[in-house]
Amino acid sequence: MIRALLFAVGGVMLAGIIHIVSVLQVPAFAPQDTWSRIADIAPLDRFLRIRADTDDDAVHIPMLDPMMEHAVCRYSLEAGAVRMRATLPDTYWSVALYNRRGENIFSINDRAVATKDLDMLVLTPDQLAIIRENPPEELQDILIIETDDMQGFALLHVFNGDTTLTPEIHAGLDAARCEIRPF
Amino acid sequence: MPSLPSFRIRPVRFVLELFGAIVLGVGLGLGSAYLAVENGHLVDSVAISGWIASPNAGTPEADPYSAAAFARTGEVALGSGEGLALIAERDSAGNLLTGKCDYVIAGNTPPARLWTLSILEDGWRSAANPRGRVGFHSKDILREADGSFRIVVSTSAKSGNWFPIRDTERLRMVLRLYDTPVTSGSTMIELEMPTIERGACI
Repeated sequence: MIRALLFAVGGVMLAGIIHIVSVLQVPAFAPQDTWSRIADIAPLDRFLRIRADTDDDAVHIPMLDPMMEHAVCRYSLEAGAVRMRATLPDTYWSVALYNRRGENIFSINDRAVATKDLDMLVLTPDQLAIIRENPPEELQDILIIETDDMQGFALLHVFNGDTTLTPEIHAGLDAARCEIRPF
Repeated sequence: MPSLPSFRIRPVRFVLELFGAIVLGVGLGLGSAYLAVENGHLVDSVAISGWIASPNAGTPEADPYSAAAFARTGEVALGSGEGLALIAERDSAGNLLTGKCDYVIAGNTPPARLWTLSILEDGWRSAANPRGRVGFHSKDILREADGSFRIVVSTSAKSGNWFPIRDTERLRMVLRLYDTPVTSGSTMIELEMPTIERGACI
């Protein structure tokens, strides 16, 4: 009896270890994580307009608000800082940065941005130190986001409550820039 | 001297017991991990009248279960500077939401500059409906005299705020509050959320 109990306890402890290891390993092995989906559709350093609801599985990012228009830019800081710029209509909009694992690392909405347009520089602390040595004048009007994550993606959301704004929003998102040469 | 229980090794029995323990361990471990990840959205979340919010999900502070759940679905979370998404999978009486029933969503939302209400069908997709109505938002909804609203979710046409749906098995309702002071768990408990009452079923 004691013997069977010991084996049962051993089995449950093994179950605990397997439980923890497999839960922690899911993000590393999930084939459909956001980065892989986005890498399939979005080229580096350019905003691509995407739809919230589409029947094409490859370009589907779940849980995007269907009442917003969206654009995604996949970036890498290996080659330098990335500057994101967009001029959008006077409606709610927001931008969020995600690291490679799809975790949100920064977000801001139109009211919180000091300027009317989006003008944001994403870089590593080292890259910022280099720019600060000889700062261009326009640097003070740019939203500066420091990150240690070398790769990631940005999502721009623009509220489209009234279809009359659709052409203007599409034009704004299509013209949105996400580029390595910042100055 | 007290006699210790004797563990005389009998090879066949030992191998059988070891095998049993390993099967038990692997089965329980993988099974519980699967169930936990399937319900990973519920870990570290706040429930307000049936609406569930997970402010930490999809951030580097997320617990391992919701991190695993997010990695499997590939979804992205709203950032705290954008707003907060609340998901309802059950009506106010606790029944799972289904496209086979009508629902009335009534009441008020917490303070926000803008909110949108949309519906997800099976597989976390936006409800595709032929009328082009993918959701309601705070600027286009018809309100009662006291400022509250009433949305009727149904497969057949209704007057007022009608949200047309298809008769799918599962439904999830998503209320997104944009530019809201409500972004952390502690500020959420006392919030007024709309109720979801079930009407007629097919």
